[in-house]
Amino acid sequence: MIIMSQESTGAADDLPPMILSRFQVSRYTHPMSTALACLSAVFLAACGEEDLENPAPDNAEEVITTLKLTFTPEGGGAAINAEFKDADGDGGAAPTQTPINLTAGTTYTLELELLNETVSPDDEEYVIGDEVRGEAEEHQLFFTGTAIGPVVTHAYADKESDYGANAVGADLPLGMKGTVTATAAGMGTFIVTLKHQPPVNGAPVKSATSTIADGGTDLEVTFQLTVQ
Amino acid sequence: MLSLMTRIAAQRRLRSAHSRVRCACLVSAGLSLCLHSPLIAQEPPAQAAPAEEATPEVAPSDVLTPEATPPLDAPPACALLISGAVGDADGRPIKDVQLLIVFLNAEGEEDFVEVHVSEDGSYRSPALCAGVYWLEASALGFKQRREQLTLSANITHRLTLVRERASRPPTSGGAATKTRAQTHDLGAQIGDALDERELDRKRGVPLGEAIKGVGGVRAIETGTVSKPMLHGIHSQRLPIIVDGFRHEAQSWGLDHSPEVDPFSAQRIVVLKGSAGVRYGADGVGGALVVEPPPLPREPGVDGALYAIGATNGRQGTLGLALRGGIPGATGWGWRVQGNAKKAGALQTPEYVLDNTGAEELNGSASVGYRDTTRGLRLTYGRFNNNLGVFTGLVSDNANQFNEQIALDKPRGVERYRFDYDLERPRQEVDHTTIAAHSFLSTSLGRLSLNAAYQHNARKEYDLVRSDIEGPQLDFDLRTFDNELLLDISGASWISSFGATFKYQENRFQGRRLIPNYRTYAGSAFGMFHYLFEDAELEIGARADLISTETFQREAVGGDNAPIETNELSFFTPSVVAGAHWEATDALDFKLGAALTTRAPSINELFIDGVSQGLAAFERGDLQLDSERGYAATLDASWTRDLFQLRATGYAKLIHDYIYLAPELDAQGEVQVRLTSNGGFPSFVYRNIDAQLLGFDGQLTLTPLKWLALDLKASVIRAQEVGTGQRLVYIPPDYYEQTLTLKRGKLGPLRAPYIAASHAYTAEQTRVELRADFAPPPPGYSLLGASAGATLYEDEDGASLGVDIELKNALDTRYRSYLSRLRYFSDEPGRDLVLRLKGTF
Repeated sequence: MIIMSQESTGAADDLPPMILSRFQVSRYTHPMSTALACLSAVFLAACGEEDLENPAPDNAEEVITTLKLTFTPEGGGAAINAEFKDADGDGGAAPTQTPINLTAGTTYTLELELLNETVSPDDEEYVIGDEVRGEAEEHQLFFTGTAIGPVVTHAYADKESDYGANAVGADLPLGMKGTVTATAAGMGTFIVTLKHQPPVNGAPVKSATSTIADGGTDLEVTFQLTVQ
Repeated sequence: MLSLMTRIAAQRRLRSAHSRVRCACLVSAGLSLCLHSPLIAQEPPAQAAPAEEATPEVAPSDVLTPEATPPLDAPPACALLISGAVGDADGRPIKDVQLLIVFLNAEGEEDFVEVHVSEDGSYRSPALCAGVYWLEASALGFKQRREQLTLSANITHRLTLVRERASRPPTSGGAATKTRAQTHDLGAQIGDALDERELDRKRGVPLGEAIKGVGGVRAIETGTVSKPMLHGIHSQRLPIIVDGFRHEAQSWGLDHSPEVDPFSAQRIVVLKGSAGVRYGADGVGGALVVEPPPLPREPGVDGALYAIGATNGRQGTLGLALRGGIPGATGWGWRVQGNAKKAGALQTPEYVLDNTGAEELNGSASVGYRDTTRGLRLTYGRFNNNLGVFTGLVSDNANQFNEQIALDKPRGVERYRFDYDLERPRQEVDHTTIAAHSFLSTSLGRLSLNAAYQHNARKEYDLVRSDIEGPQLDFDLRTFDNELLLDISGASWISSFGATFKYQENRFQGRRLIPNYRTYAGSAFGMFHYLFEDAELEIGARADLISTETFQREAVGGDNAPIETNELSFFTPSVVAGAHWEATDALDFKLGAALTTRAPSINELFIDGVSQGLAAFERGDLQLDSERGYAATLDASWTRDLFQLRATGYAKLIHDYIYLAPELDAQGEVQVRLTSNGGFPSFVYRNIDAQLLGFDGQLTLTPLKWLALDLKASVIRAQEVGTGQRLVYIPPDYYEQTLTLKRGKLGPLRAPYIAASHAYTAEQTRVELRADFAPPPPGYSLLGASAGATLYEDEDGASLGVDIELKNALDTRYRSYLSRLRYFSDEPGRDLVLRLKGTF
């Protein structure tokens, strides 16, 4: 009944016989379907066609599309930027990424920013970094990879108290700010990992002895780092 | 048997007589009876007394006198009695029998009185005059029976009703009568039924867990979640039918338990063959049919109270069921039922599975009218379940996931502790059903019109930043189901025709997962069932048209993101055939064959992202074709006094089986999808040709009346046709032995039993390592024990029963191949369950 009235496209003819038609339409409301929907609506108490056909946007609260690293040389000079970006989130198109190129013998202040670019810049969920800083006591960034040690060193340059009151335990680092020293020429991987370490049964997980193994992973990006 | 037309004509006359209940006497001499008979027609057996008062000459001893020796001084002509019993072929009483005494009144019209049949099957007529009468008995699930009697003295007469779908009644005697009765009950369909007694021993556990004892049934588990699996088939491929309607939920999710209240069931049937025609075209693996108890027709209230406690999780369940008739309104009945459960975190032998508690609050109410010719029943049911998801099942990236797999215990286990709190991650599920069932016997046949509205609301709360409130996944599924059925039966055949219409709306909100959708589905089917002397044949065909529109916002743009709309249409035909042959009294064969079609489910078409709790990037495919399954099942049973042997073998070839398989690159390596949370192995849904071969065997030995040894085995092999690659998540070989000692009576105890069991689950060695995240866990043996008895029982139906069950008696550490917990933790350890059931 409904199917008979559809306009067939060329693509449908190539489909196996089990499928009558399959194609995309921009907007499609058959009068019959409206009638049936309304009939059924008697039973579907909270039947709202509007919200069915106008789905809510994806929950943006936990989406991180973009990681920005800014390496600013101590003692002046142009900042070096690196970026990981997956503009449409996990699914869809593949992410893009730029490498990190540093100069040997230079110490940099490293600042990180996390964005959700699936929403517009004026949305409160846009700067996810703010949420992380706001919950500094339950988050920590870790810096690992083959470049750490032979090529660069990393030190934390922030504390939980930089972003709000330190209510629980020691005043531990968060990692949104750090110091990276390019010690020798070479290359390797520079992995940025954001761990979410909420308390379990009221007992804090983030502590002076907690590691990258604790908690859940919110972000893990591997950069290629070269020191010249 | 009367021919169908005669029967229906008689029913029509009876129906018209119903509205004007008349005097049941034949001659004017029976004046006193004339006054009482309208009462008799409506009151239960205690009220047979008025008739006796009216005819004091009839002493009870006379009534009970066997027909062979009529008393010498015969009672007056209009004080004769017909008494006896109505039962099934095994002589057991049948519930809710309607018994009519039909006669010709003074005007020569057919008239009747209704006679109460008590719980034990016995009946006694009011005082009657001499003459010709017909006894007509009917009960749900049995063929109506009418027998002629010529009354000249008190008569004892026994009526035997035959089950509607069985060619012959099950032979009594032998060890496994019950099993035979069950297989018979299903007609030509292959399967097993769990009756009320068996379900009582499983109360307080989810549906998936309750039916695990049936051969070939396993469960996919995740601590608190238990999904039934039959012959390696589960989720959207294994329809669950509750009170005649398909349970509509987000059944595709591996961590979505079916939202079915096990307390609402009086019987659960596991259909192993082709259930394709009656319940939908896609039941290639069979179906689970959950049947509520029938409503009473007579006044009087009875009920059952359940109390269940279990040590593991320190959980308790209370349940109450009440049902009754309505005084002065024969045919009307009602039933209300409610149960509540509270469970804390489960315990493995070495540590607590943190946050695996659960809260459940379920209830249902039903009211209806039923006689032999028409019926209407309205039902409301609500299932509400809040459950915690094991803390260790955190969504993590592939590196962390793989490191966890290498560990012996979950990471952070030192912080795990027992409590009843439900913290994130957790699920809140609410399922409401409102249904109406009606039937009417017409000159054409029995016409049924059924409708149901189901609302399934599922909210899943991930472990997120503490400033985030509300669920991360919010599903709202509303389904409106209608069906019109016509059953036409002859002396040796039953034929059913039906048409269904379904309207469904799914609204989803949360992190990117599936689109909103609206589905219209219509179907038509026909089935023909023929009974031979010692065999039966069943054939059926069904066609479904499914049309779905989907609506999903694109990922980028927030409120302004464009909406992507898709329209999908599927045609899913199915054909089934079944045969049942009772070769001898001891040998019984069933054969089923089916062609089924299943349209892709919403996740298989649309999912695009990292799966929660598993380190995989899953992608659906809009171009997927419907699955076409070809299945053959052979079931044979051989019953002797000392043993019963039953074997069920099956072969399924599923063309275009929709399978989540790793995506391989040119070198045959699993491709990696990069996300902001690292790289994940890529899995895509694609059509493959799959082949499943399996066998369930059961041997029950009863060398002594009080001793039974039960041996079970289930074996299944599944692979992709052509490549020979093994499918993932196929149950490993399973063997179970149970030794049961039972008596009919022991001192004050009725039906006491004590049983010990051993179950061995082999290691699944037939795997494709690439398609999984960890090698299968080793095989394991579990010991269990149970005991129980009826402590008290009286003739009014009051009873108290107790069952004790010990699971995993040795507190064995093990991991199950079918459990998602196996990547993280052990399965729960020892559990001692105490179940009390009182009836009144």
